[in-house]
Amino acid sequence: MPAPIDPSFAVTGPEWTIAAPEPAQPAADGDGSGGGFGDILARQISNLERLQTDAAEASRQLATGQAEDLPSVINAVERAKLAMELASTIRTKAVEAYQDIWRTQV
Amino acid sequence: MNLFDTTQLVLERAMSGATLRHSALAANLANANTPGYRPIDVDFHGVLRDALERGPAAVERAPLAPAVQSTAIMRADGNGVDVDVTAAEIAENGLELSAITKVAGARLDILRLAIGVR
Amino acid sequence: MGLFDAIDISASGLSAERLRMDVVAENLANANTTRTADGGPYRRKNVVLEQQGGGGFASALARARGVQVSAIVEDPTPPRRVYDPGHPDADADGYVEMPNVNPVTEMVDLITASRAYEANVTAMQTAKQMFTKTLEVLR
Repeated sequence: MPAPIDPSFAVTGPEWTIAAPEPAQPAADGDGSGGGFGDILARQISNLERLQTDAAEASRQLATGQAEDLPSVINAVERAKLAMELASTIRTKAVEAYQDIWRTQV
Repeated sequence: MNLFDTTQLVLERAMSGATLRHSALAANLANANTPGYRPIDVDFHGVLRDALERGPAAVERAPLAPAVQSTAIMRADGNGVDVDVTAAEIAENGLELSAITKVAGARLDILRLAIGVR
Repeated sequence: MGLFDAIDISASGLSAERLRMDVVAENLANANTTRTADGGPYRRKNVVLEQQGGGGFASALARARGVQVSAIVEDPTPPRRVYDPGHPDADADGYVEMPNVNPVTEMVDLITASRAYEANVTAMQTAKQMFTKTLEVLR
């Protein structure tokens, strides 16, 4: 168990104060209004599920000749791919941040 | 999303169906002047639509085969091929094959992202 | 299929124009035919085109529709009477009834049909290019 830190080491004084960041503006589609990081993540994941299902439905319609126009199919698949890229990036960054924390020298 | 779900299976069977349909339509074009020739086609759309309702095993086993079209308008010598429409159908089929291939590839890319492969 | 409506419509145009060219060729080939199966000179044929799906409630359907041949009719113009007593089909007064085919009119029809055919081919090529470009989104 490391020894408690001597209070004289603490940085105080106005020149050391870091102002709190501006609260994040809600996203244009209302998705990001309030909620912590966990809520945001949960919303993105359910969004991802829905986009994958939409893309699967559009792909099935293309294969069975029931698609009405090509751009709707292509856009559904591309949206699903971008959502997966976003989820993948979030996961990678979260894992890296976690590893950074572990590597931090105390 | 499961690994290689029913949607991916249906896309793959559609690719096979489109490839087979190209051969059938090319045969029609080659026989555009054969007396008494009845044009053939592969209705992979209809076959896969029915198979999808019955489940993935039915999709796997879906029969893709050329069949004689009975709706062809006949010329005096019994030949039922319309050259212009057949050429257009060949072009459409080729484009459809490209579209299905691209969509199937994109879904596999999504799978790769989910797995974590760069 | 909804996906390829543009190409199907152009294909219907190609079919219709090809038929028009066939009919023009038949008219030109029979421009001097004085004996036909049902007696009398050859009568010029005309192709009547209509929009696919019938001409009745056209405004009710919002879809773009192609062309189809509604009928091939005979031109009701009476045959030309040419004075040629030596002709085997000359009547009592020495007149022969020749087909009502005017080669100049037929050539104009041929050029019109040919240009329309080319225009439809261009439209179809453009539709194919648009399709291919859309697929590049997934690159």
